[in-house]
Parts: sequence; C-alpha cells; structure tokens
Amino acid sequence: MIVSVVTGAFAKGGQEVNKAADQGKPTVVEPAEGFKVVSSELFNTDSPVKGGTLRLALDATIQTWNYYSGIDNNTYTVMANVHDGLVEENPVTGEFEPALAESWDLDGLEITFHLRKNVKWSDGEAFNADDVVFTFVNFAMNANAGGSQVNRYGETEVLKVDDMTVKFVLPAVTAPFLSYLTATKIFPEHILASRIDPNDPGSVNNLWTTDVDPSMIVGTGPFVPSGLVVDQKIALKANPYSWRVDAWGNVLPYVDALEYIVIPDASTMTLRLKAGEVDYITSVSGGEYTTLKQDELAGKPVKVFAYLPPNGGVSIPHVAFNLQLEGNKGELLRDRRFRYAMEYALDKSRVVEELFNTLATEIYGTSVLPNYYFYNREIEQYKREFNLGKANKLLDEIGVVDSDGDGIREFSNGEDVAFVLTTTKTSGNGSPDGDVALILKEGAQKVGVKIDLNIVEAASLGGLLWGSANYEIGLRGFGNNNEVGSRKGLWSPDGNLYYVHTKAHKVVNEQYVIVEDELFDWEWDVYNAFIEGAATMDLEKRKEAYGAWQLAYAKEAPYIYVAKGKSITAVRAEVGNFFLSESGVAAFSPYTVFKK
Amino acid sequence: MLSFIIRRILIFIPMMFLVSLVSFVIIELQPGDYASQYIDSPGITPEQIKIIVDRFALDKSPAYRYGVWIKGIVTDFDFGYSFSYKRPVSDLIGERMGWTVTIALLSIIVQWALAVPLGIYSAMHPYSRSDMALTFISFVGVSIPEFFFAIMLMYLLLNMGVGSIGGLFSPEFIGAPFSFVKLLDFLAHVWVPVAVVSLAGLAGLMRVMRGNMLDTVNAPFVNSLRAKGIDEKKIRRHIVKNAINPMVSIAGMQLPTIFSGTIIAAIVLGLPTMGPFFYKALLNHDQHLVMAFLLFIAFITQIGNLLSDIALAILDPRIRMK
Repeated sequence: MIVSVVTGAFAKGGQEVNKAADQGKPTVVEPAEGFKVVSSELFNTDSPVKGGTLRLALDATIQTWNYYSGIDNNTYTVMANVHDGLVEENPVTGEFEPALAESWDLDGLEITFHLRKNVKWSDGEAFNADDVVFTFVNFAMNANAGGSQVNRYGETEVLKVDDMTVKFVLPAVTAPFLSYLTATKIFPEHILASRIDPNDPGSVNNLWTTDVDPSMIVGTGPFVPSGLVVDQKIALKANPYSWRVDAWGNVLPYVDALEYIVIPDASTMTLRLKAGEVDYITSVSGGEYTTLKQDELAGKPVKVFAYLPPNGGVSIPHVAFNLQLEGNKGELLRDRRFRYAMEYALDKSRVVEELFNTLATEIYGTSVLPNYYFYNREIEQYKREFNLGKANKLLDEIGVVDSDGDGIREFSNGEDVAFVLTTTKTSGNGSPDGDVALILKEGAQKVGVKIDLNIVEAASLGGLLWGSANYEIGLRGFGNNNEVGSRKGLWSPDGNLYYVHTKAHKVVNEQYVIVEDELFDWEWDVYNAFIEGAATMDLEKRKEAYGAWQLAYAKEAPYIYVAKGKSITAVRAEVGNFFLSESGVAAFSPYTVFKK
Repeated sequence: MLSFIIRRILIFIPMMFLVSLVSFVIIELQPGDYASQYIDSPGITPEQIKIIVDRFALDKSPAYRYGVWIKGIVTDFDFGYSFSYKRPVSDLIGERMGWTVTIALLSIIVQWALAVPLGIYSAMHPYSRSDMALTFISFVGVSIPEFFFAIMLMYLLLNMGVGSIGGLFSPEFIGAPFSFVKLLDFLAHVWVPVAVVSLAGLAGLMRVMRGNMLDTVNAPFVNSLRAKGIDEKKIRRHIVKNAINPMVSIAGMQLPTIFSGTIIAAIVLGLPTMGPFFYKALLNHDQHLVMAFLLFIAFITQIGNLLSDIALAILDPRIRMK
C-alpha cells in the first residue's frame, strides 16, 4: 500500500507538508487558497495510489476539440475533463457546487459570482473575469456557434465587475440558471480572442478542430489534451495547474493520463473491459449486465453496478398521441379515455423484465422520478397499471366495438380502429423504443386496437414528430433531467419539442410563443406551471408549480411514460475510489479514481 | 494497348459525373438534413436553426447545391466541407485512407494467396476428403456474417487469455513512435480483421478457382498437350493460367467490395478505416462527406476494373490481339 503523498497544493500555497503523511497516516488538511476540496462522496479510501493511465471507452472519435462548435456527445464527454464552468454538479448527490466560482450572491435579477483565486490555465496564464465574459459573448450566447446555449440565456448581460468578479443581469427570474451554468464551460480569452474574425461570429466554429496540435488546447480542468490518433484514441494528461484536491491535500487527478479508446460497438466495449484494455464503461446494456455479474460472482476482476442516477442516465421512453390529428382517429386520440385505455393495455412490467432485464423502474406520471426533489406524490392516485379488462371497458364506453368479429374494433363508419406508431429502434442513451412499441402493439391488439409500427432512423424521427407532426402515435426516449425547467421545451405547449399538439405554438420574431386559441384547458395549466416554475428561485414554490404540471399530465395522459432504465456501469477491480455510495448511486469520476 | 488504356481513362470522367449525380440524388432522398439533429435538441432556437441552414445553404435548391459542389471539385479539387467536423472533406478522408488501404490490400493478398492454391488443390483432388473439408469450410465462410465472425473470434481470443483484442494496436501502442515491439503488436492484432474481412471472399474465390480448374482440366487442349508428351508439371501450368483468367475479372471488383462491404465488421472490430466513418457521416447527414466517399468508391471501382483488364490483356494473348 502506497501512502498518499502531499504535493503541489501545499508547495503552491506555501504551507508546510503534512508531516503526518510521512508516518503512513494521512490527515484531513485545509487546502491553500483557491483550491477546492472535492466532495467526500467520491472517496472511499484515504490512501490512493498516484500515477498510471486510466483508460475509458468512447463509441466514436470526437468531431472537434471545441465544446461549442456543434452537438457531439463525445466532444462533451472528453472536454468535460478539460474545461470547467463557474458551477459544477456533484455526480453523486446532484447538488450544485462551486467550481471556477467560489461563491455567488443573488440580488433580485442580478447574480454576482466571485471567481476562484489563483486558478491558472494549463499554460500557466491566470484565469480571470475576462475569460468568463469572453466565453459568454463569443460562444455560449453567440447564436452562430454550432453548440450555442443562447436559448437558455436569452438577453442576459454578463458584466465584469473586477478581475475576479462577474455579474449576470437576468432579463427575468431564471430558476434553472445554476443548472445552465454547469454546462457552460469557460474558454481562455488569451488563446482564442485573436483567432476570432470580428466580422464573422460563425468563425468560432472553426477553432480547435481535430487537426490542431493538442498542446494548443488550454483549459482549467483536471486534464489537458496530449494527443489524438484518428478513430483510435484521444489522449489527455494531468493538468499541472489543477485546482482540485482531496481532503488530505493531494492534487487531483491521481492518474497521470486519461485515454479514451474508440470502440464503436457496445458488445466489443464489454469484451475489451474484460480483457483489461478499458478500466470502466458507463453504458452497459441490461443483457451485458447478466454476463458481467456472473463474472463478478465467479471471482473475476470486474464489478458491475446498477442504480438510478440523481440526474441524466437512460432516457424514459414515452408514447405520444397526436392530438391535432383530423377525422375519427383524431377524435379518438383526443378522448382521454382512449389514452387511458392504451396505458392500461401497455404491460410495463414486461418492458422492465424483457427489455431492461429487470434493471428498470415502471413509471406512472411524468419524467420526474420519485427520487427527484420536484416529484408530486399526488399523481399516484392516477396510476394506471396493466389491466386489459379496464382497457376494454373504457373502449366499450367510448363506443368503438368489434362489430364484425375480426378482433379489431371499428368506428361508427365501419373503419378499423388502427393507428400507425412512428418510432425508432433505440434513442436517448439506449432507450429501447422499438421493442417498447412492439409490447404496446401486442397489448393493444388484445383489446382490439390495431397498431402498425413505422420504425425510422433515429436521425429522421425528430423531423416526423416535432418537425412536421407527421405521425399518429409516436414513441421516443426523451427527458431525463431532474431540473424540470431545463426540459420546458419538451413538455410545455410553447416548447419547440412539444409534439402532441404542435399547433399550440408558433414562431414569432424567432421565438416560440403559444397560440392562445389552440390551447386545451389543461394545456393552460401546464403552460402556466412552467411559467411559474421558472419565475422564482424559491424551491418550494417551484415544486408546487411543477407539481401542477405533473398532475395535469397524470389526469390527461397526453404522453404515457413507460420505464426508467437504471444506469449500469462496469469497472475493473484494479480501479480504486469506484464504489456504490450510501445513496445507492455509483460514485466515481476520472479525477478521483486511481489505479491500484 | 495504350489506346485502350487512354480510352478507358477518358471514360472515367463522364462516369464520375454520373456517379456524383446519382449519389447526390440518393442523399437528397434521405429524410431530413444536417439541421435535423439540431431540431431534436431542446436548447436550440429557431434563429440558430436558420443560421445553420443559411451557413450550409440547406435552403437552396438541390440543383444549386449540386452545382456549387461539382464546381468546387472541378476547379479546385475541393470535395467540400464537413458540416460536423468543420474541416475539408479531403483532409478527413485522407486521414483514414492509410489504414483503409492497408487492411484492404492485406485482405486481398491473403485471399488470393490462399484461395488460388487451395482451389487448385481442391480441383486436383476432387471429391476427396480434403476437397470435402475445404468445400465445407468455404460454405461456412460464405454463410457466416462477417460481424458475427468478428465477435465470435474476439470472444474466443478473450477466453483463451489473449490480453488485447480489437483495434489494430494495444492501447499503449496507439500513437506511440514506431518500434519493433510496436510492429509485433500490430501483427498480433491485424490478423483478426484480415481474417474476418478476407474469409467470405476467400471462400468464394476458392470455389470459383476450383470450378474453373475442373472445367479447364477436361478441356480438349489438355488432351492434346498430353498426347504431345508434354511434362505434367508444364500441363498444370497451362491449366492454371487458363483457369485463373476469369478470376482476374473478379479481382477488379474486390477493392470496392472490401472498402464498402465491411462497414459493420469494421465497427465491431473498432478499425480506424473509412467504413465506420462513412456510416457516421450518413447518420449525421454530413452530405459532402458521404458524396465524396461514394465518389471514391466509384473511382476505385473503375481503377480496379481497368487494372484487371490490363492484367487480363497481359495474361491472355487472345485479348491483346483483339
């Protein structure tokens, strides 16, 4: 066992070395100014081993080193190790913690952030308020940047107060503001400012493409890029100016290098984990879980965890009904009894057992899970569990009966009650949409409703659903964020991705607004709930507002939410500080794990 | 011969135009475009989508976009700009060309080096036990999907205790400077993708060679040669030379098949080749990248056919005389 060695934090801060460490017993120490002690939830040992290379898997090479030039999950995954935001989210508890900002003050619509002192970029230059302003103006709030976040910040003003203080003036109360900041990574002004064409705001997209020398990529994160081998490996090395430490004064990360090995196929990822080429993988399927668990129980050097994360994870597949469809079909879809009947006909326990290998939870209500803060328990009275008898009764009540004895109900004009369900094979971090659709089809058939499946490529699905509302029933995995306000675009009638009733909104001056005459009564409740939820920072009031939304959805069932898959991670036994926390969530991060 | 080659090269130009047009039409038929993935994102505003559409001229007519793209190729040899990578398409394809050609050539060499002698042996010992065994193996080779064979092979290697599977190098050697140890590591890895990629083709080639040999062995000219008292070894050489003729035509079609027909296997094996890259480009609606790749496939198909025609002319004096 190698005793942890106290390093740069204290040399830089000028404090003396922790002498207790010399005697083999590390003690908790106060860090030097500007350093942050990483939350204790990520550690289960006080004796980590420093050094070595951590190897993780990536399903494709990064499209760019530039966090803001496009939508590429692999770029986000890799560059989250290189860049920091003002605020960060604890991966175990989901709570917001200081990052590049040490503290903040809220005063009405103004939030003042006090930046972390003594932070240096990986090239040794000092980090300051100019970098923050530069990032927001040229990247986060630049509509021409491919990965811009202007939709979140709108008309927010970002002002430099002094070198270590930045003030945000919000146009209106924006409750999810801290959540937005976790995804806004700060870029170095001294490196990039001179390379932006002032006459072409879109020129930011051409910065830090994959052909630049990785040493040009500068960040404040625990790692910095050191190499890229096309379609094979993305290499990072420990940032010598890292500002994160553990409780015992060790500068993080523990490992010297972090490498992402490009492995496009999920099954191959598991094989290479077993072979020891990869240290841990975070997107194991339910099927792979079984074999990995068998290996673990047989004493092989692999551990696998299944848990509900505090945020994110596998998206929840949901069934959507096109409420603006015309004719008999549209009338039937608009009748909530039919939507209830479809939920009664959907065997969610089969979804959990067969598609997720029992590693999922049935969902009744919305995408707000029972373990999320905003969950409204009142919706449980509207729980509609699998019951073909109730489904049949509701359909009989509506008046669609099987008059010709062919097993399919008919409308009054003799037309079969038949719908086309448009979906894709998988979406949303592994949501098994196509298979869920099949289970719904089988259940609906038993109650006399014919459903034909239209399986399209995932990239095309959006265009058919919210792009053109060219569908009858849709199914998609979407929405797994516990900050409800950040998902307004999906669930509020004025949202750009609200697709059960696209006529409820329109674009005016390049913003989505509601069409008042189109809204159903219950849609007003939903719309007002999201307005109220974003208009206050008071958590209790926000909870009440979002509770009203959940109640409206539970009563009206415009969507049927199906199941939430557990996140499954698998790790080699030689990786330390990777464990199941007391809250049941896997605790790990690239800068707190180590190689034994 | 020279005029034949020049004529064939001149035909390249109208052929490539035709292929570029067909590729463009097929891409246009795909639902959605590059901006579609942005529509899926909750954080994207209509203004941002409009900026993307304007930047990449996605709202212009297909004829306009095709014209601009073709003009770039003809005047500047510019194959366009990747929407996703924000880099010239030619750079991106060039980065992946090396390993693609390496794996393809190694696979072709292995296929021919094994298929021809095995086909000859099989034909010379027809319906023997060894011939039956080779026939069985070739049927299995043709029947097993490449990606399944790849997964199976990797699983077997894992269970045999092989430490590093998939890809072309062990992780520690990826990007490392060249060394003898790195070369050994490469050889220890590359045989898997070469075996996977060449298996189906090898099996098919072997059957064709066997069939050609059996046809030629019973040809009248063989009896004439025997009647003349020619040595059996020399007769066999004449038989092989005649039997291999049709194989040369097949060779011309192998390059494009190996490039484009092994995408799924390349994804499973984690190969840094153009196949998986092309597949990603298709999913991302990265139009210029997809069209450039299709043009490349068409180009090497024509090159392959030209080379096989030249080889045929060299091998067969009857074709030269024609």
